[in-house]
Amino acid sequence: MSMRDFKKNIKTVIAERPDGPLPYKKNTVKAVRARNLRKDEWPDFQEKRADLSRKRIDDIEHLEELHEKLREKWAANGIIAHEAVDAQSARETVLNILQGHGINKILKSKSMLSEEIEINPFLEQHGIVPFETDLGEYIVQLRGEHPSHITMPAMHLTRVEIGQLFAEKLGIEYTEDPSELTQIARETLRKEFLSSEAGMCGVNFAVAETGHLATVTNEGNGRMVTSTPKVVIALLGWERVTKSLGNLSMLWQFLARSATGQKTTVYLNLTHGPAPGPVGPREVHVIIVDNGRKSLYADEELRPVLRCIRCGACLNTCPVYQQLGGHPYGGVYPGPIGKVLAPALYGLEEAPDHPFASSLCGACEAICPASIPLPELMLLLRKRITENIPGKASEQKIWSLFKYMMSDSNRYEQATALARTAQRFWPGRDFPVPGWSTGRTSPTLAPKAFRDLFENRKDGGADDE
Amino acid sequence: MNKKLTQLREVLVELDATLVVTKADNLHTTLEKVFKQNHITSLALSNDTIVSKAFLVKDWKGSGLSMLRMPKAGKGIETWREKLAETDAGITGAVGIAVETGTALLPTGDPDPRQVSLLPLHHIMLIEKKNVVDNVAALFELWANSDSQDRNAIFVSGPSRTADIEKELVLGVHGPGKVTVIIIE
Repeated sequence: MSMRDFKKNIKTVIAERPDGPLPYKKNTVKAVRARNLRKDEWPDFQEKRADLSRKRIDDIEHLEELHEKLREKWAANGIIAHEAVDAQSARETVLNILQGHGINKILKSKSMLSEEIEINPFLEQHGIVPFETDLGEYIVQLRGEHPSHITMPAMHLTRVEIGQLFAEKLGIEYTEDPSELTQIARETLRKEFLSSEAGMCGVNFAVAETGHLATVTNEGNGRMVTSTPKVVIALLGWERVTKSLGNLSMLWQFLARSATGQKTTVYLNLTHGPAPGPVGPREVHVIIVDNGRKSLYADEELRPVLRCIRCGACLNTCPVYQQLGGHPYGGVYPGPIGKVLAPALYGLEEAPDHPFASSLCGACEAICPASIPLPELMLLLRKRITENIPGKASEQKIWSLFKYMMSDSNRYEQATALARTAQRFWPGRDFPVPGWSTGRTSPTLAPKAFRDLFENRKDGGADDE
Repeated sequence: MNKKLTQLREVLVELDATLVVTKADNLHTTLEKVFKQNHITSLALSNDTIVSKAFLVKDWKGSGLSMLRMPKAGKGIETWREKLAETDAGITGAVGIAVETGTALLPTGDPDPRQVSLLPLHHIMLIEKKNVVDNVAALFELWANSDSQDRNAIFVSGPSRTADIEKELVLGVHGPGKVTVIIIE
């Protein structure tokens, strides 16, 4: 599904699930509940959160400096660094490394950045097989889909759907037991791990003071792809850098608590360089991907979005996401963070409806561990979109008309009187308002305005009571 | 047992991991018991000091336990990994463990033993009691003072898990499904 078709996609998804939004709703509500339990465990949660936001702001303000430090550390630690300005150059860098070694298969752990640069179809075109090893990612790869959530890739599927998929694609007997399905995936992927020559992982944070590449994982596949193959390729979003291991300690805990309600993830894997002995990776590459991030940094109003640590909590708590799941948003980043990231990273015209698909209820900002002002950023993008996209100007016109009407009491009275009369003669008394009146009926306006009733009241007013 | 260890036990139970506390003098007997309870007959060893000390060849002669040691440079590396995946358990040391979260920090050295704690289905850790600390922040501090920050490292909190299918918890995905923490007093 494409980002431009957001509105159309919503209709498609709703039609596909006539019984309601399950399992999105069930899974997201579960995740929020788990996160809230953890929040209550820390009596000073809000102070810790404020401190985390300050740390993240400080990191973002010093990105250039931190990257310089990283370069030095990586050079000393034996990590080979590459820079990629856009998705195409990131893909080519990966391909060059693999072709240089004559490798035609790569095992991947979960990385949203790898989705963003669309590495899988590219590698396939060049005869290299990309293997997703995170269970959720493995499932969506078998289905030929994108993940529908930042941290729960297959959360749009039921166990029955996954059972049918495994039976069909892996030629096994049907089972819908999550434990058995997981065991099947373990066995299938274990064979791949033991013969793997190259692994690819995302980087949750790169630590400037030591040069460590930090990758979180629960399943252990993130450890597999960084410690069993000969060649490791790590993808790092330009902004995912932090000053110190002390910062990492808090970022890690907030990431786990916000994403899944765990105190920590099962594993935090820190890659410092190639393996020191004969066992493990001989070569570690890191590809720093810009792909629009530097221009987000240059845009001071949008810069706060770079604080995002990709925990997915804003998706879970969002009433819109809970109804839709992730696919209708198109692209890679759904939910509230996607409503800002999609138009900000890919251009306003690529995702012109995203910032509007929100009631601005503020649940996303309230749950965000980095306190990103998401509703404010959506408003900012709405303004930019209505000012810059021709097809979107009507919204601005409607609101300036509204402002014109509301800023003068005579105009207001005339307009409401006109609406009152018009409604009396309108078929069914139901005004058609695009996008609003589907599923709703216009409220019937009172036969007489409150002002008229008040002015003509008999008792002379309540002031004398 | 003191309060810290009681709390650690509770946290590890919550993570589906097991805590065993033993006097240094009884370590051998404790290990034998753990192996028996878990039907462990083959064991992969990392090469940190605490493990090497506990598994001197002469101490385990005639025990029937088959031991896989880290390969020396250039020798048998290809077959080591396949053998490793077949062993019942992998045993390693740890820099320390945090009570609040049940998180242990694994040292990695030369040769790199990351896979010993990853490929076998059961991971056993040996940790000295003085290295049981309050929380993750304290564990990072312990690490900072250990002169091993310039290495690859892994923080481990219980057995590997997933909830990718309808958010239902399943243990033992790609990493170990069982974790035993042995604290040495």
